[in-house]
Amino acid sequence: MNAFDDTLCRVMARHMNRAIPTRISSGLSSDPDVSIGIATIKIVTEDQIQAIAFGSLDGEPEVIVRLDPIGRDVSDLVPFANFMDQTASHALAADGALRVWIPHSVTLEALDILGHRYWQNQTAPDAVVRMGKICRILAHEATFPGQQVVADVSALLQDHVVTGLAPIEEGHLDAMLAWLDPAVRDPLTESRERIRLPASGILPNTPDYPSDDRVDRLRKEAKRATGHRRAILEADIEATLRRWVLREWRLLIGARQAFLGLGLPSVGLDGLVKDSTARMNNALANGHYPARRPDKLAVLLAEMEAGLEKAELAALESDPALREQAQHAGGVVRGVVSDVRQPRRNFKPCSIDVDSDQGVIRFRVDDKVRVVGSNVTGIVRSLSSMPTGGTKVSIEITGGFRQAGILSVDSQLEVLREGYGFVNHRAFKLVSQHQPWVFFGEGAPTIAAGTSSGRSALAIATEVRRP
Amino acid sequence: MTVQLQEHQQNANHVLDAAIERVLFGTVPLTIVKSPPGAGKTFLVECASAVAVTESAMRVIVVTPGVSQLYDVADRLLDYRLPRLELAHAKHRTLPSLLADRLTASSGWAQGLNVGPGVLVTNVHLLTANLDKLTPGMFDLMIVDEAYQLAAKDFMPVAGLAARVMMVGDPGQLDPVISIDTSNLEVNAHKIHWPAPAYALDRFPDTPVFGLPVTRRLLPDTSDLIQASFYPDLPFQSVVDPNDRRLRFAASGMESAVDQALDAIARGASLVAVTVPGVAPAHEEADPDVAAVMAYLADRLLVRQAEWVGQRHLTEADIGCIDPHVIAGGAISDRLRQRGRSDIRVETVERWQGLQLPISIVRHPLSRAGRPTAFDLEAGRWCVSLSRHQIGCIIVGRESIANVIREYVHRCDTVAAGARDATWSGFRAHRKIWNALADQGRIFAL
Repeated sequence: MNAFDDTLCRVMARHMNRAIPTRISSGLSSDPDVSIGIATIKIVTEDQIQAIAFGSLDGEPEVIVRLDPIGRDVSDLVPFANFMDQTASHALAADGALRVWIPHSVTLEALDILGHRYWQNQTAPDAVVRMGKICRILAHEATFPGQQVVADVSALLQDHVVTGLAPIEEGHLDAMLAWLDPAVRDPLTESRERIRLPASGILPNTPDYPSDDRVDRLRKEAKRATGHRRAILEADIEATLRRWVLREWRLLIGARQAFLGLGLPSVGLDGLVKDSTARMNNALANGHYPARRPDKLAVLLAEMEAGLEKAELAALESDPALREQAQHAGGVVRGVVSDVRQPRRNFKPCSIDVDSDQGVIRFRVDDKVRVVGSNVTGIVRSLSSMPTGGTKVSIEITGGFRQAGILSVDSQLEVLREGYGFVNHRAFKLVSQHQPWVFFGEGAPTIAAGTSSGRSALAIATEVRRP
Repeated sequence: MTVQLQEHQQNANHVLDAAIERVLFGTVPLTIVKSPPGAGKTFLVECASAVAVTESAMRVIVVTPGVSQLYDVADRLLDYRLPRLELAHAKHRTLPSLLADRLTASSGWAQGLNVGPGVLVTNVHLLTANLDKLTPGMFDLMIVDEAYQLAAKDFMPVAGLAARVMMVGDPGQLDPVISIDTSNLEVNAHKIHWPAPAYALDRFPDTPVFGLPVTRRLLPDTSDLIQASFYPDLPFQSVVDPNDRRLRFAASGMESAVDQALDAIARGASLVAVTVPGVAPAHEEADPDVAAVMAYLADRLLVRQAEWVGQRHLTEADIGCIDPHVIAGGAISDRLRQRGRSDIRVETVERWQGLQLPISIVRHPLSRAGRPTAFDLEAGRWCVSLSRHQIGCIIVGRESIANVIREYVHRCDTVAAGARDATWSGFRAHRKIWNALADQGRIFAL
């Protein structure tokens, strides 16, 4: 969405006292059978998790509070580790289909750090090591554009609705939810009230809620205390952490319900789901192996680029609102068929002319294109300006020859570029076998010198040049 | 041509000879040739191909990152009497009319290609798609044209297909397009997202590198500024004789800044700017006033009957408009159409890369509302914009450009630690160029 449309939507949202959907379809597939939620509270200065709420999304979560989150004893993490292992087993039984809901990206960072800390820690219990691996797998999966495993509900809401807040304020999940709750009459006032308390996976430290300082102080006191006094202090820490991690959990659940409540259909995401599921299945079964070798890095990069393209095309294909924005920028062409050249109806060869009012068109000659909502595909063979200011696009049809409703004069259609995004695993397998020295060698090999005549290359080229 | 220009020219010829000698007959399998804009990259490719085939009976493959570049190379190689010249492109493509009757193209890979001494021209993606039909070392020489536009990851599958590889490219222009954020990849030992020559030099710093020391496109004043701003490690000079690039108008101008700018070009200033009062409209993707001025400039060139002295009167085909953004470019096209100048080409910077024309009219990327983005400041994009013209380049933008440059504060976290910061180098280039234009009285305010 461009800046003008974005601002306009925000003004409308402010006027209507509710969030305005900016998409007509969802970028997230339906929840698979194995779907869980995780919310965390971390120590701001240490990036260590001090409380975790986790569990299925339709019940109360299990909560772990860590009295000594920077200590070496990690046995307190074992319940979470066991839960993650069970979840991974269930996901594997479902061929890798998994969904992990988190309230925002801070939770993902916390899980990633947790993973880095323990996935190869030989002094940690096996269950915690396994948990570390699973956390790394999840964090890695989240880096793939269009992935369908990690559902960061803050990001999802920001991708699908606009509120009357400034964009930076929408980073606060609780504030954003005020615009999605019909019971809130004045979401602007309510959201700015909510912004006073952080919603970013940390303890608040405001004048009225100095919880972070307080827990810090209680921990120091508890270290020095013994017996009943120590138990009281620890109970106090536990209660504080439990309260705020449960708030994060409730934000997660509320935001998920708000997102699902938008009722946006999940269509066209099968390819992305398949890719995510395959990656998860492989990683959960075989372990996490970060790419180091050049061919593995190239495959990783190719997968990410392909994922981005697939996600963008799926969104365009299924969402008229996004197509309208893309049309403005020339990525989608809307027009009317002005000529059909098909000697035998329903058979190839066939080519059509599409007259569009658009002056800005990003298609180029020989681009592969498809007609939205159909199986009609083609190749752009020419583009020419029309005297009226629009563009005539000539397309050689390569598929969907029987779509008479589309391949007829005066039919209105939308055309978008087909994706090239795929990963040529076969080629990289050959690279792995051949190992070209530039990428795999430790030094440049020496090759046999050629025999030079000693004549100037320019002189030789001049002789070979046609008169 | 003056004696000094002749010396530069001869020096350039020596570099070209030495590079080809090293590539074809040396003992190192990879050679990199860095080239400034208009230095004769394609001419080098032509010469190397001709010598390899005729002197050493080599099987040569010229590989380009994109398909349009391969058509350009094939067109140029058709000027040579080569025992074999083949072109292979994807099955769904059609040859451009320029080549249609002169060359038979292979749609996809075919068994009979690359038999005996000769040259095959293709793009890297076709080779990768057919890699299972190819064998390592099946070519004697691979010339990678526009190599700085080819990411190392895309070079990797084809890297072993030839015993000798020459990479030719312009290190100052746009990097390969990678659609995802690559900052995390910077920590890897293998920077596979970098341009292929940069990757090779990162791994093997002793790789032989030749720098072409001249530009045959840019006039000296543009060349000096472009070299200082974008090519700190690649010294080059213009070998263009200003007498061969004179612009003359049949009709004299009025007193407007537009005509003053055009007259400045006619007096020999090959890089000038025209500023429009005020600031770009907020929340608009195109600046209608700037678009209108760009169209007016193009129109005035033709209304005043601009002539490339000794060559021809300029037509719409001799003028091009460059805008970093598609939508803003659309606004320029609209204004040109309203003036009856529909044949003047308007394209993004990416589309202009590798092309040249007598006059370019460029929208300044910092002519915008709000803080400039990394896209606006990117060095390669600005370098391409300012190095397409043979006679004159007119930069158009809001007068607020000076303030944007003066008030810009660079964030220290724009790239991963240790990574090359193209945004910062782009900003420095912007500042240097705008200050130079101001100091030389080449900014004409409307």
